[in-house]
Amino acid sequence: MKCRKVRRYATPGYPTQAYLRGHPELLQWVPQRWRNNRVVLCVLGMVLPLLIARQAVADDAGDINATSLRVAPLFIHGDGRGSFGCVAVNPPVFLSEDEARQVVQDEAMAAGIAFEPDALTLKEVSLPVTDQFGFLKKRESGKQEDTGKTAPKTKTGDLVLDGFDSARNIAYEFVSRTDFNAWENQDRKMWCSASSYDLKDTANTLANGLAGSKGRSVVAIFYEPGAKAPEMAYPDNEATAEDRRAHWQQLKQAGKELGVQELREQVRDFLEWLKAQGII
Amino acid sequence: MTLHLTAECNFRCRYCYAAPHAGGTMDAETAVAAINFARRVSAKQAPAQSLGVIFFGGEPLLQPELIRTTIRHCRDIESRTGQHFHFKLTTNGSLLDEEFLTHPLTRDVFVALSHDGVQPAHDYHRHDAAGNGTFNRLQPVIDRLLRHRPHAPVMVVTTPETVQWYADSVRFLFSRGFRYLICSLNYGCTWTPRHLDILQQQYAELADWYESRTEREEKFYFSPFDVKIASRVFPGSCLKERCELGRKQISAAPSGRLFPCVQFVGDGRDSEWCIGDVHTGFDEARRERLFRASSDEKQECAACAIRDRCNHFCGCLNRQATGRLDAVSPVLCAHEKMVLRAADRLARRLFRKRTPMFIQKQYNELYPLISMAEDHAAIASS
Repeated sequence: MKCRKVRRYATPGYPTQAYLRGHPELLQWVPQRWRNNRVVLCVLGMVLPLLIARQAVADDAGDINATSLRVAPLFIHGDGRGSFGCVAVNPPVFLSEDEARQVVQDEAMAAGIAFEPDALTLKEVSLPVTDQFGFLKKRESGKQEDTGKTAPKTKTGDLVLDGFDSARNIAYEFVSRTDFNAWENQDRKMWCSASSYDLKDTANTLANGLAGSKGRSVVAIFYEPGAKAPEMAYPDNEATAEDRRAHWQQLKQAGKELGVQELREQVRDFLEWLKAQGII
Repeated sequence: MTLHLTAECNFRCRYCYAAPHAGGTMDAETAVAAINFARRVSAKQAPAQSLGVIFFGGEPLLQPELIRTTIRHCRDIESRTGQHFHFKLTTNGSLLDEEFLTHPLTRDVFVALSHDGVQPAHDYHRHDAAGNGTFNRLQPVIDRLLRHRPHAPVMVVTTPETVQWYADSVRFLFSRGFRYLICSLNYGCTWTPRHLDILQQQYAELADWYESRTEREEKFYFSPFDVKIASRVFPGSCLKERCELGRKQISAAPSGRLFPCVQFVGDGRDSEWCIGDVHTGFDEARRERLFRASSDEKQECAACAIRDRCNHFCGCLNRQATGRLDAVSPVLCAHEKMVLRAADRLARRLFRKRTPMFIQKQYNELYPLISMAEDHAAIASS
């Protein structure tokens, strides 16, 4: 026996609780046994109008905070890790925010999704706290060696999503090296010339933090694949500085192409997931 | 905080993951240290919430005095600090007596009974130390329990050997008066496609039973269907309520060592799953590592259309079935699909008919309050 994913699942023939906003009268279907019970009738008399009014208010206000964000699973393509400095043997080639945006938009456009940059802000959501010097940490207690404090794993803040299709209510965030640096733990006294990045783990923390946050959109979290350049023969000892520079450019280009491909796979998986959920 | 009061048990249930072993019995000092530790953690993570203490075993009622000592300590904290506590106990029922159910210290303990339903199903696995089935001796216990705790849940485990009686067992326990039926499969067994076919037939029967009982306006909770229906009505609820291994619930072994869930305690010596000690606190690095291993997206599930309504995140179930936190059991996968489809078909029928009890139970957020008012009125009038 093997685990087999469900590719498509028909939308169930009964609504979510959001249905109440348009149909508050649904709650007037009350069991007969309650109608015959004075105590229950008294409680119902108090709470039903409140419930119905609350639903109506939420509807009138077009309350974007009325329900939870729907966060897509993390689609794993690339280990998202890399190091710079003395610990690095083969440093990753990171994509810029613009390069990533181009990849996401190309794929999304083909599926009829038009992402507008930075068009949706999620207020007061759980964001990851990153730590590029994490390899220096920590005592068994989990406390940082420099401050003696337990490093926070998340913090609350606003998140401007990288892309948002308002017509379809679909958004995405690409967790880049820039994001990783922006979310860095500021409470430290120790620094190091080497640094490491775990973008996949950061994306996972972000996705977990957003799940259940208020909002009505479907949100995808993509992450920097952290692609490493494939193995290539090094220039020999007699190579000139120019040869070495060209070699490095070649490596960088090959790594970038791999990163683009891995990000493209993440987006394609997301689009497949949207189809399976009946969203597009 | 779950306190594993003792590793001893007077039953020898064949599927038990906490079967009697040499783990010993918790002493009062450790129990008190565990409560103090839980309070410190709770004060940081959820300061305004009541702290839940679960008495577990082995059979926890083998240690009634330790239960009373622990509750006394908690009540003392309550009176000094205002920190509230609530208590639960999971028992095989054999030692559940009037005194425990009515004693001022223990009369508010929420008691869950482990019982597998009709006699052939129950007696197949749930034996006493002499190897005899325990069904008959539990009949007066059920009466006693429900007389004092009408909302007591019953915990039912189904295995391939007992799956043919699944629907009969649920109906039987309902007829005996249980209204909270928490039913799960033992994923650690060998489930063949034939067993799963039988299970599917059982769910079809249970869906008919659920439908007719709901139409008759009876109040009850049948976990396999109700959890799945809630995951549709409240999108994201399944993900929000997942176990978060090592974060929300902590188990303390008799020795005081801490584990992320009851199923990891064993004899309390397995250092692989140990995440600290009640005296010295959490080993945060280990705790975080286990949480990560459990919560990381499962490759095989990421693009699944029912992923958000599925229980594949449960690290305990995964470990039970596959030995790994991050590897989902194919049986769990098959079961989740099966029960989801059955629950959705059932809910569609009940919604289309606008069945009042279904509408209230699934869509009215204040249903528990109204239901409680009804129950109190019934008790007062009787």
